Amino acid sequence: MAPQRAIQLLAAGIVLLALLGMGGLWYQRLALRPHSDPVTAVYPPVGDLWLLPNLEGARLMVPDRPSRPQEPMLPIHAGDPVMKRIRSFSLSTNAWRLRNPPLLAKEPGRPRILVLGDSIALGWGVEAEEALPAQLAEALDALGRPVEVLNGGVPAIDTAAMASFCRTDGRKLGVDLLIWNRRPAPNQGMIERYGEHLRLCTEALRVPAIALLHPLSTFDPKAQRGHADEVAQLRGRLAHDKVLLLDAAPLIAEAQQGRGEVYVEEEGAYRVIDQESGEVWLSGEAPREGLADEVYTLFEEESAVEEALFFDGAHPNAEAFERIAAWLAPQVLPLLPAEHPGG
Amino acid sequence: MKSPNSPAPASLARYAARWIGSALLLALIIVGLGTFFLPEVDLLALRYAVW
Repeated sequence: MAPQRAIQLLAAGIVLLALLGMGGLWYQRLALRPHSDPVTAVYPPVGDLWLLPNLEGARLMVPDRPSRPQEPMLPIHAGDPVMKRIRSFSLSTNAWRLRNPPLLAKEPGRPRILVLGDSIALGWGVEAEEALPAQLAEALDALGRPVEVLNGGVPAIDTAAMASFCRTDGRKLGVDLLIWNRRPAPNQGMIERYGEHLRLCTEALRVPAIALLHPLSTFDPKAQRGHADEVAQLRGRLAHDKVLLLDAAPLIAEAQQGRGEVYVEEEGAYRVIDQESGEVWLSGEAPREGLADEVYTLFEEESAVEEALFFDGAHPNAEAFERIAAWLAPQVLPLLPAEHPGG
Repeated sequence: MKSPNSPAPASLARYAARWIGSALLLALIIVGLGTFFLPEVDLLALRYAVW
């Protein structure tokens, strides 16, 4: 080969290598690009992620079935080979980063309730009007007590950030009642931390508070196992702070009876049971952590397999929130400020 | 015996420098522009499903 030819080939090789390298990187990024719009960013006053303000119908696509621990680590993307059961919902926020329309001046005689919490408080996977805060407002309205309920849910929020929110933006909102809607993270020492952050929040807002515990999916065996102990410890911790502790788990567990699929663990074995027909879809040895791989595959392959009142093994659906709101509203009433005479 | 078409070593070096230099410059431009305009992936989505 003539030396000139070899030099030309080498030069072409260098350019080709650069093109292939960048092409590969672009392909990877485009393939991983989620269908979901970004909705959170670090909010310096609270020192953690918070919802972006003034979101207008941001679209989110999320798993519509229980997902493997590593699955949510990759955003859902086009042509996803594993995650085919997907649901989408929209998310709008106001200037206060709340999932509400713009806040107007507080109306006399219409108390303001702040539901502060994580993705379940936010209504992850459902529309704003189907989430707990909106349904609670409706339930209280039906009881003849019109209120304004602020949706301060933020996915995966830490209780420390919730307390920071109360000390910063929260105290400017003119709140009359706080609903602290989160479970303690299942780590050692978390009950104390949970109680302390809740105390800081109520002190900053100077209002009564309800600590509202989430309903639990049967497909979350870890949460199910530790639940009774968690509630008992919380009762002890919160008794000093005069916080009303309410647990939505028994309510929703009872409402699931006879409906849809459930996951049952007994003596180291698991079963996925269709409660309507009594048929056992799957059974086997229960893994130490999470669910057996076959359970996820079952959800992916059998569209009929569906847990009542939850859509992804963690987050309640609209009907669950409606039930919780109807149960919660009468318990909220006595904690609201007295009505104006004749008001 | 040397071919009459073979360039002198000095001019071959210049030839190589011109071609390889241009290729490297072009590769640098491709990598630079490609990286600058690389689509962003929302890594915050990692926390969407954690509660």
